[in-house]
Amino acid sequence: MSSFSRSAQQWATFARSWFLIDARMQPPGKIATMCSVRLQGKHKPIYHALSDCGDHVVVINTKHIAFSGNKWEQKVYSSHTGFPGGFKQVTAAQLHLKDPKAIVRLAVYGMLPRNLHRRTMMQRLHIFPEDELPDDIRANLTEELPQPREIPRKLSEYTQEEIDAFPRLWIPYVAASRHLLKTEFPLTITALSVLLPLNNVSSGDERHFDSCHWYLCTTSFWFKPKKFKIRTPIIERCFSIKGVGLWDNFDSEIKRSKSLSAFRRNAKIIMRPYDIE
Amino acid sequence: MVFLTLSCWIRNRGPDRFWKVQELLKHARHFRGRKNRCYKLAVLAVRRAFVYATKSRKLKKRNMRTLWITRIAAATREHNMKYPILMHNLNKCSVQLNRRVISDIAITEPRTFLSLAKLARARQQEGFRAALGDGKEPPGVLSRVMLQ
Repeated sequence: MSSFSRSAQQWATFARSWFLIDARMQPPGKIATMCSVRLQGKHKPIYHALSDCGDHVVVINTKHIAFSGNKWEQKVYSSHTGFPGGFKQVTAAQLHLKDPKAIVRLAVYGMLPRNLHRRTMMQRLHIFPEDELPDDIRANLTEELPQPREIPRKLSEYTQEEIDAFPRLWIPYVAASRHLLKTEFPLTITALSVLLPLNNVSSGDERHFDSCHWYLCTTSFWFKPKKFKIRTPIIERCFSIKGVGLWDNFDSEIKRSKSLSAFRRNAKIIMRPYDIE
Repeated sequence: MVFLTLSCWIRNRGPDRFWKVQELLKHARHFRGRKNRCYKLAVLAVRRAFVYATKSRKLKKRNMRTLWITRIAAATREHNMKYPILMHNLNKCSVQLNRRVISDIAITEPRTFLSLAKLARARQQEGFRAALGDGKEPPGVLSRVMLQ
């Protein structure tokens, strides 16, 4: 590098690189901070706001981003068409279905400085919902950035030996489950932790329990305030116990009840470990 | 009547209005529009420009410092470290380089900057050992602690 002539060294220092970020199973906010830092050029010691030192960033697999918590149903993207009565609110899930690139694009747009350079920086951001890239962009890529979040393993990726060898924390016991009434309206229950079976099991059927795997999950239904005109379905999430590390998403029947007290009355679900004690 | 002859009607005005006006307009020559030509408009614009200049002498110092900090932070992140860690540990090592010098080093002398980053990292580890360890030096180190 020191053997370059001055002009060649300057040209190399101020060259624009192309970064690649894989957004699979990553939180879009963290992806967006990485993108905005590199679009502004703040990762370079030669940074100056006026010297146009930002780089290109290519984000792939934005269709597979993963919000933490209940943001898919709770995070609202608002816009106004300009006409009276044109205030529109959509949840993150609806926006993602309509346009898989929008969430990452809006996140990066909000993280860039609010000046005239923002639009040029957005033009240097290239978002793709899946793995496919056009050939000219693929030819320009110089570096791939590591993913910000470590993807936790699914239960199906653990071997049976690892599951057996995993330390068991405690053995809970709760009375038999009953099917609950079905309604449309979701409710908030915060921090209600129940152990649910992987397969949907009706109450009183002891034989199924031996073969079931039991995982700690937090079912959170949430009550939507009246100002939101849209209704979204409840989705159950299964999180890992901190320190245990087993998790899986499963499609069990979604149980709803009209009130919190009714849910508490009816939601006594059997929890048992692998071997029956 | 006092002014009875023609010669008494002549007033003697100031001789150098032209140069006084030019003295002001020279500060407005790079302005946009009529402000760079017309005295009445230029007076206001030049006064405003001077006020901005006085205020900005303080702002410049602030802006330069934030720029140095941004540059140092970018350079330390290239070495897997963060700006506050670097500055705190350099302070603890009584390295009294200011941010201007460190940012210039980061741009023009990358290896020197790497050595500064490593120094800060070593001092950080030393601090952790002092806080969490058992007061003994790691093996192979001879120091005042051992001799006591």
